[in-house]
Amino acid sequence: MNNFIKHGHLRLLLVVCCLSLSGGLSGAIQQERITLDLRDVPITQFFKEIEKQTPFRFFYKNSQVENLSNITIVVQDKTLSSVLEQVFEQSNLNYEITGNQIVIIQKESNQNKERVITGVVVDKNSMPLAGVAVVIPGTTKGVTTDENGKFSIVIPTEKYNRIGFRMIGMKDLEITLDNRKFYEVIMEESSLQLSDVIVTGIVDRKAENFTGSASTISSKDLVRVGNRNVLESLKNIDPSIYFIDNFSQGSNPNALPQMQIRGTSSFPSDQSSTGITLKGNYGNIPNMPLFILDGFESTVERIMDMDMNRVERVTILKDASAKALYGSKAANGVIVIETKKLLGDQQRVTYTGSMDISMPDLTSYNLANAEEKLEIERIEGVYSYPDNLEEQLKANKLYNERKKLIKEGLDTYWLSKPLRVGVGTKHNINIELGDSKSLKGIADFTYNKINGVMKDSYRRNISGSVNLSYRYKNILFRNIMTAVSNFSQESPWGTFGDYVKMNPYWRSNDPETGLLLRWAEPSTFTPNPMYDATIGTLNTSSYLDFTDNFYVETRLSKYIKAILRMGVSAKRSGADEFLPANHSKFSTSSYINNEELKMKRGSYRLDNGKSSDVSGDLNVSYTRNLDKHFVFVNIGTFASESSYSAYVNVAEGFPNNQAADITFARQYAEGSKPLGLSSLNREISFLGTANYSYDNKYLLDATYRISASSLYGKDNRWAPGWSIGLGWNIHRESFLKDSNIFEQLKLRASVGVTGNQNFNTSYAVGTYNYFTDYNYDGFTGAFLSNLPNSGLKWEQKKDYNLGIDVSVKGILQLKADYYDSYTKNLVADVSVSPSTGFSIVKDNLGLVRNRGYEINANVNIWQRGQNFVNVYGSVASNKNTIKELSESMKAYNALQEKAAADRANNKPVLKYVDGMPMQAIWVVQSLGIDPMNGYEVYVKRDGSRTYIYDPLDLVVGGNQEPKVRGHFGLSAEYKGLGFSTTFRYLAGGQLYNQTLVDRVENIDINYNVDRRVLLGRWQTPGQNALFKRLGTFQYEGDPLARQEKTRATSRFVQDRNELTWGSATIYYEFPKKILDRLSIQRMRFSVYMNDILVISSIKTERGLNYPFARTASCSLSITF
Amino acid sequence: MKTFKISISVIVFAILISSCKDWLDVTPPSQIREEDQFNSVEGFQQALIGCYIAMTDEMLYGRALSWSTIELMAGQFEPLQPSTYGNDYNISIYNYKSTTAIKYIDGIWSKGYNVIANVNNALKYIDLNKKMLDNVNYSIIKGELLAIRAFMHFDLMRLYGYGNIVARTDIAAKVAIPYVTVLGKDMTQQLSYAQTINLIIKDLEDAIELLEIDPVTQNQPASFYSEINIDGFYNNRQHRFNYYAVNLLLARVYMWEGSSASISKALQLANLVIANAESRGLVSWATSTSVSEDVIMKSEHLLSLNIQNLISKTADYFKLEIVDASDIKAQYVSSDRLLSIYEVTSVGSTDYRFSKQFIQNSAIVGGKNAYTPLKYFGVASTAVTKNYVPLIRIPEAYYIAAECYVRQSVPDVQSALDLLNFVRQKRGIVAQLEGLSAENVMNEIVKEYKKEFYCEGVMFFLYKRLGIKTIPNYNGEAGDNIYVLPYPDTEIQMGREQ
Repeated sequence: MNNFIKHGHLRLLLVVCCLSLSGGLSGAIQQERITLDLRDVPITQFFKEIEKQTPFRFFYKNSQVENLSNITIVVQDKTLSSVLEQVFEQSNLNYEITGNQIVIIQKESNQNKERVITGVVVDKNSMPLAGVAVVIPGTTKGVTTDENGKFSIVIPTEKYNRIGFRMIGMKDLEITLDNRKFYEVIMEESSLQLSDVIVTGIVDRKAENFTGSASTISSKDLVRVGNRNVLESLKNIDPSIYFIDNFSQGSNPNALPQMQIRGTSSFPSDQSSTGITLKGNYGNIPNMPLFILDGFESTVERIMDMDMNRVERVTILKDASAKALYGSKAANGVIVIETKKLLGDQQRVTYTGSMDISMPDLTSYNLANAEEKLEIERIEGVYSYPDNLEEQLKANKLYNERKKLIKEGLDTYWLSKPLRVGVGTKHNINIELGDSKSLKGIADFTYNKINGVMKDSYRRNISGSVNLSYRYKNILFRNIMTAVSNFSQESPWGTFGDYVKMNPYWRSNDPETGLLLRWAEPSTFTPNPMYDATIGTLNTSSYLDFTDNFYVETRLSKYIKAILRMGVSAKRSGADEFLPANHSKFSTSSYINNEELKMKRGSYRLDNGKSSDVSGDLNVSYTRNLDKHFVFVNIGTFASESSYSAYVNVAEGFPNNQAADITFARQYAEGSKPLGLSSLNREISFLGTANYSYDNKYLLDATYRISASSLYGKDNRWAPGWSIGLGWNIHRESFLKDSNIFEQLKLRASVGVTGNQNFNTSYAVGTYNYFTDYNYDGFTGAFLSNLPNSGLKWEQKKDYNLGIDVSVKGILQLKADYYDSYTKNLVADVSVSPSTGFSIVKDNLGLVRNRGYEINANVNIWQRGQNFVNVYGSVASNKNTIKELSESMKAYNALQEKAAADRANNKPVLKYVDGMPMQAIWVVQSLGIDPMNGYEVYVKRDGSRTYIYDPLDLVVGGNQEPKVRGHFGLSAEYKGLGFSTTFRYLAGGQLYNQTLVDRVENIDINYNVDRRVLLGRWQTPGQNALFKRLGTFQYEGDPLARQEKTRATSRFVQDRNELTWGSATIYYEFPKKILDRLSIQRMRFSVYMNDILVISSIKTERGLNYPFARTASCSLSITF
Repeated sequence: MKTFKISISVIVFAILISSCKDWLDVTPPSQIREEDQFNSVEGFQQALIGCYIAMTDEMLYGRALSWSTIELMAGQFEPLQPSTYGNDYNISIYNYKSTTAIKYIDGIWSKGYNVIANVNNALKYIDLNKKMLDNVNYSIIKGELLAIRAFMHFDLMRLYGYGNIVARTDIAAKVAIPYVTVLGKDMTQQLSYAQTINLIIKDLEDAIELLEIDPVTQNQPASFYSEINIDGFYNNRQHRFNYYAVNLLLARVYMWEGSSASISKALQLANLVIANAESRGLVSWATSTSVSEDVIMKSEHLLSLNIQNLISKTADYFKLEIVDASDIKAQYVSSDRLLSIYEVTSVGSTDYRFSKQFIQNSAIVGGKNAYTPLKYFGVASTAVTKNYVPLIRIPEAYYIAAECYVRQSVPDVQSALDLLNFVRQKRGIVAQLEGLSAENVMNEIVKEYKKEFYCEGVMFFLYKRLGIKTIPNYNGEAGDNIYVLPYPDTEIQMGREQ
């Protein structure tokens, strides 16, 4: 009975199958009507009869028909199909219709008997794929393909007519079995579906089985929000990367961005200890994430200068489970960048060109105009010498002169003088060479010139890359070679700050001739900073970077794959800074009056550096699928050597401005000697990572990496990193499987430890140096240059992460993470008892906690085919707390308090206190300005009031880290026309308004000041003023009266809530109809605008040395 | 094929893993790691020389502790101009809380301990890598290192610790400066004065034992050293701690300790130096003619530091043309005072320490031209003896011995006077001291110290050791308030006890 039902089912299925197979021709079979009267004839006779009456032709093998018994058929005006049905019913044959052919096939056995299916699995280049899991859906049976891609699987019963193929990096595939025994199956790479794979840079992981927290950003997403560089685009995409505002460098195209992932966990490094500032990007900066480019460690500079069009995707590894692969370097997170993969099926040439426009954004400046400035000076007593008549007369004359000029309309707007609208261009040609079976390649060439908003400041990158791959049998070779030539020029106009401080009653140009003036005010010998730009001032740097990465991938056996990678990169860099003799730096009276100094005018600084990295790694992975069990194990070993050296020479005395070459110098700068730094670091590490999943529901990840670095002392050379992650794919559970709501519903949890080693030199061991300018009786002496700390440990960060991924079919994608991390063994300069012979030592101290959450959501509001409307948004929050501090940190704080006590100090000091955030702003609580006397009223710790600033009263007045930040935006496309816009926001943090305090209180009255000085400063008793009166003080034993500075006070701590309109993009994808006529495959035109608007609750001057800019760009991309 | 692949990967693995330990021991070219520094005889020699060079720092014997700051603190010169910035004024008036004085208080301490840190690291490696050194190099270098460590600690203790300790029983219970013997970030515990002095003595005794092999002892024939000394590293022994200098230094330490047991040990050591230092050719007495060329009396130095460009460093301090108001650094002595120190009107008219080691300058004090010390200022620029600052000179052996004789439980006044007269006669004083009481002999010794050691950083410690309550230029009673430099603030904050 049971058998019968099965039987019936099967037949029904067959019929359906046949019907669907015959598809569009079923009509013909139905229409052809036939009349037959055949009795006891071979079946071939029947075929001939049909061929006579219809256009159909039979195809069969003799073997199929020779053993059949004769048939008898008598029909009158029946459809062909019904006739065929009748004939074949009793036989073991069946038929298929293809066009006008009727193909005779063997009818499938109706028995419950096993059959063996064999086949080969290949990729689309016909390369056999090994290790593919071949499964029978609905059973626990499965096999994997061998190294030649072959498989053989036993199908237990007829009931199973499908087999599935699964492999990481490939799209899942299922095929329906027919009565063939051998199948050639082609699997497609799944890389096009970015969300399916997590690229960790070492091994690719299937997203569904991954327990880590990682976000993947496709090139499409990157291009949607900007076309400047990868980092600029990331700014508008993922809030977990926090770009630290560079108020000093603004939008200087030559400034490298600083960023951090999930909070601050390192103390700021002390660059001053070396006493050498180098131009060029050498050492790493603490708190910066690790950059991995195509599997190799890279630098932020390289990422910034790389052509965005080459990027395939960016993956940000955030939690331990994701980043533990990078062990001792991963504490600050890892950003993995992968360049475009070779598609290899077409030959294509793509040209992308763009024009970029940068416009200065000066909205944050609020400077006094000429009239106001003169009035401020008068009030401040610049022109008042009550005790000295002679001086008073001079001052009166000066005042009247200035007043007269102002009356005549002199009001120079200095801010605009060094600025321009920067127009840059970018050209990129990308050639995909790939229709050969085994050799494929991409060649790419880019020219990119970014013109900054300061006149003549630019950054120019010319880069080329070749990406080749070659397959020999089952060995894949791949080589990516990149060369970048960079040239950057800082504006010869000097720093923007030089113009901000210029008094508006000074002149830049001669009013009659219009020529540039040497002196902005000849009577006071005030140099005109613009003049410096006309005399050959030079400040440039350049580098040439060459990288070659080589990959060999092979399959050692059915389950084992090996990848060997070797990379080499070399960089040569140089910088030139030439200040001609006429430069305003040498215009002080001492240079002019002293013959000796006069000869020393003009200076040249020459920097030279080189760095090189060689690294290699070998990873062997084992993948196996057994029934519902999936196991993946990877072991790897890494070795690398990186070194850099940089040298600085300074020369002085240049006879004329044209001699912009160091060889024209009169001598080395007095008291200077060649300076340099070098570093050599070797590292070796071993990695083991394993992944197990049961039925794709329950996931387990474990990673262990142990690294040793030559940077660290023998006692603590080896640093382990590990992680364990668990995941649960709830959407795979039976109770949700049938519901069509969730495409994905995954819970993740992970814990692990990673390290940080962004430190320059070896502090763990003692190093010696020579007294180079000293000998003792003709003998050389050596001295210990640092206090060794053999117990110095690697910084370790322990991360806990809890996350959920939700994807509701076609509507919503949501990713939320909560994390809690503890960084211990922070490396910092710690003061030690001077009786040790040194004042500081690099030591581990304390514990810092960072915790927070990140939520990213993307809602697809509307979708019709290619047309869509998406909104997206994110929110991220991080809370930083110092949990423990060692005793020695207290001495550090004491020193900081001492600095705060200095009456000439104008900045908040850094203090680290248990329970407080690292970015705390330490200030003395202020009640404002006493209207009676103009002094500031402070609150002491005990609550009493005082006029005296005491560093012991320092309290936390704010936290520079915003409570929340994130972004939101919209993207839409309709018939090829797309629009996208993104806003960034941050809220809940504070900022010490340094520029305000410096521009209104710590002012140098000889230069321009903020307008608020005029109205806000205390002048007369009884006045309610925002800003205090100024005082002077003397250092002990110092006859000089110095201006007392406003020290860190709560008056200048302001809430910072900010909304930035980060990007707006419009693009148009030209329709195929038009393009076909032009024999163009694809054409896209885009217009970008970036950093369009900033709305902030705090009014502070941004861009002190280089202004911020708004940028716009239009870009055209054509593929032939 | 398969075995080939596997074997290739095995080889690659093996290459990567094997000898990774050595592979990781690398240093950037601009760095010399301690292990590499102490890998050769030269390395140890450089480290030793480095310690001496560190001692020539301006905060130490290059200026502050020899001819300038500490001499001002002993009131050796006319008071400095007040209310000027950046000179030694505040420290010369013992205003130890002022920032300009703190510069010295912190500076001397940290530079002194920095020398000690360098010594300690070298001492650590000299025993670790003993096999790299022959016996002579090992013994002498280690002996010198120990001596430097003791010397620096001793001077720091004399500055930052209490003086006249033999007379003050309350001192014994107090803790002295930390005696640091290990390089590291951990604070060395402070020990009592007695324990600390014992550590100094222990180091010096060890040094003396090691320095038995010092060429100056002439215990070995000169040929013994010819190979080892091929580059002349063991020439000029008086520029580094030699056997006799260490002996006399130990005598100095015993004098500071001051107990009767110590006095007899000091006498023994001083006599050993008197008996041998000259006869074995280490030193020879200056004469009134030699001193014209050799103002610093280089031939008498048991130990002096070679200081490069010493003349340019002293130029601002010692000069002939002194303009009172603006010469904020000028160190000079009034005529009356100098004449009285050298007893010119009585016995001292022929004392060439007065006539040849001083010169009249343009400054007028009390109606007369004042005097500038010539010791560093006057050395002819070509003279081989320029650029040396003496730390230990042979007369000190005589003065120590003389003091020991009179301070014995049974004073031996005659022996003391013989020694004093011997030195006075060497200096051109004809008149002999005779028939003085022990107390008066002591006074004469102090007077001789004063005449002998101008600009050599000796007087402050002598006054302090003897607990003398009146010192020149200071109106109050001299006590711990001026004799004891406060510890640096950072040390106090970290829990040091003074």
